[in-house]
Amino acid sequence: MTDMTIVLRSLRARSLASVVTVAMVAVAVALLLVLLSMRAAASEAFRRGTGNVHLLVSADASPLVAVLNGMFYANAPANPLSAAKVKEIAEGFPWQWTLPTQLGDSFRGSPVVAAPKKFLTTFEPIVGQGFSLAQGRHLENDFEVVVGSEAARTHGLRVGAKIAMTHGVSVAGSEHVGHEHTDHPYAVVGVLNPTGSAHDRALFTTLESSWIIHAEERREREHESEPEAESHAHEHDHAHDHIDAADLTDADRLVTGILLRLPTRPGSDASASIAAQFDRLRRDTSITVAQPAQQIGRLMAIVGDIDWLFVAMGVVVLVSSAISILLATASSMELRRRQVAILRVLGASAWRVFVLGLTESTLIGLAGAVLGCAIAVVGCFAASALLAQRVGLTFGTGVDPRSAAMVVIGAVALSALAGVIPAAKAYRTTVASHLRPIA
Amino acid sequence: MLPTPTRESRAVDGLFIDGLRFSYGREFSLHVGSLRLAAGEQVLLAGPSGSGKSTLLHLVAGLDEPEAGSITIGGRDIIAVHGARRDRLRGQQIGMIFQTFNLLHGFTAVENVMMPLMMLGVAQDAMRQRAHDALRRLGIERPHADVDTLSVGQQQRVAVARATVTGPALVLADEPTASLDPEASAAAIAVIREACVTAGASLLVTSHDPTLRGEFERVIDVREFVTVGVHA
Repeated sequence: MTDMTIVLRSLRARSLASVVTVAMVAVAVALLLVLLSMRAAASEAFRRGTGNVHLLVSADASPLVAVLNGMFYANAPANPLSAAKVKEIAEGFPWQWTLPTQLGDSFRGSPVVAAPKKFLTTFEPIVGQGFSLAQGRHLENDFEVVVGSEAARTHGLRVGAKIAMTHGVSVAGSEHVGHEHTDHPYAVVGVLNPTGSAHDRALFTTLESSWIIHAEERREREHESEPEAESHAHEHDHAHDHIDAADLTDADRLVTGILLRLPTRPGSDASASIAAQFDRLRRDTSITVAQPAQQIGRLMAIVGDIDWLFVAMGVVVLVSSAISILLATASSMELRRRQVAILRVLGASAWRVFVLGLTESTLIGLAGAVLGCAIAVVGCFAASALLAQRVGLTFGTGVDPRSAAMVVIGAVALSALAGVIPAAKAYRTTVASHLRPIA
Repeated sequence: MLPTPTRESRAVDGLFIDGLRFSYGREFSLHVGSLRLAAGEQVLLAGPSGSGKSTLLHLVAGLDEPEAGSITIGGRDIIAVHGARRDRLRGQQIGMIFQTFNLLHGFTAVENVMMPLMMLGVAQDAMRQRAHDALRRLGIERPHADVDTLSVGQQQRVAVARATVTGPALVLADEPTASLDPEASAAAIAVIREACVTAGASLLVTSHDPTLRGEFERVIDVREFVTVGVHA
């Protein structure tokens, strides 16, 4: 038997109050940890997504929407950019690279990014860290697809699989199913390693593949809407007219965004050049120009103000749980004055009794903090899955260890502090007066 | 009044009180010029309820602070030491038995008996062995039962075991028979006295029950030491 036995028996003797107090601390710790971890993960997830892109051009309503759609695949952009506009922008400045992209198709809710073949070897989702293959190879031909790690995991895709894309980006998990491009199955030729960004849940194919499919569908629709006589006359021409890249016209070559990178020299600051090109491009009112890094910074600043409110609420909950520890321990101490007096008669010093009281509240804090961490792990996982589904962001699922350490230390320290007053009451217990028989 | 013992005899006395003064305001004053219990001696401290018996016991146990005097137990003055040292001395040299036993609820019989040994830092194995031995000597057959499940008689035996397990120089029993019928009362006193003999401890029992006077060779009336309604 040790002093800890006394503490544990004391907690057991008022098990309901102990469990409720531990639960309060656990909820407060879990809430704080999930908020802090999600905050860190969100910041990281956004930071990771934009990579080495300097500017993004689209026809979206605002620069932030352009970035969320074009780089985080929140939604399919509603308005396309014409081939002429792409050419004009590409030739308007000696860019290091330009990567036109088209979003609009999906595979079982995962977005399909149609881009030039060099996209996966040119664009780096994290600066300095390009895409790398876990399986297979990069795109070489049309109607091939390379699958992001999360998409491959979710849909069980491996190299060699044949898949059909769906027109439209449906919300993952929803029942909405668009028109399936069954005429042109895609072959999975590669699976990417995880990057920790939104690109992990995308599938990548060539622009020409997407253009061909949509061109065929568009022509078929036009053919169906022609008058019957005319339709018969052109039957020969349109008889399931499969077209290839050479048949594409400018009307087919639509994109939804252009990723741009300015030429840079190692060690030099490109921000002035980026700003200059940004200003030049935004004079064109038919397009929306965004500096992804800047937009994400603004978004995080807005979100940051809100999530600090949540963090503050978490701290308030933690403090109120400490107050509940104080009340629970103080009221139980009133009932245990006799026990304290008996311990003193048996040779326990006042200081030892004080430490027993303090240990009791600290133990409640520690148990609550540990339980809170466990809840937070589950909570982060759930929040991450929910955000991936609702917002389309790939978040880290783990609890941030530094935040966990801080919150656990804070919870235990607060609990210990809450135990000081009850422990001091125990310390000051007048032994003789509490040994008398109860009337 | 007993003669003042020599330095040598004090060292082996169960209890020696010298020049003890204590008062509650102007209403109650206690003065013990000299009181000695030889090692192993058993004394009844008699007196009606509220006459100051418990106050004297609490002073002897170092739970109340006297205005003057010394209280030497097993050769060590408990008034001369303070704080944790006094608590430790109390744990080593004094065993206490209460009218309502004051056992720790939620603990087993053996855990209650181990408690004073734990406070003295006795090793776990030795502590357990000594507690079991003490309970066995007193006829407790369910040492691992929660004390709340034991009969009143067994609870009292557990309290006696707890008071004597450390091998104290002095056992203080505060009205141990107050809530018992005469038959049970005699049996309880017999158990306490026998346990103290086994432990080699002196015994100071307080009681307002006049029938106990015949059980003890030496009876002291607390009213010898007490003045009520003092107006300085």
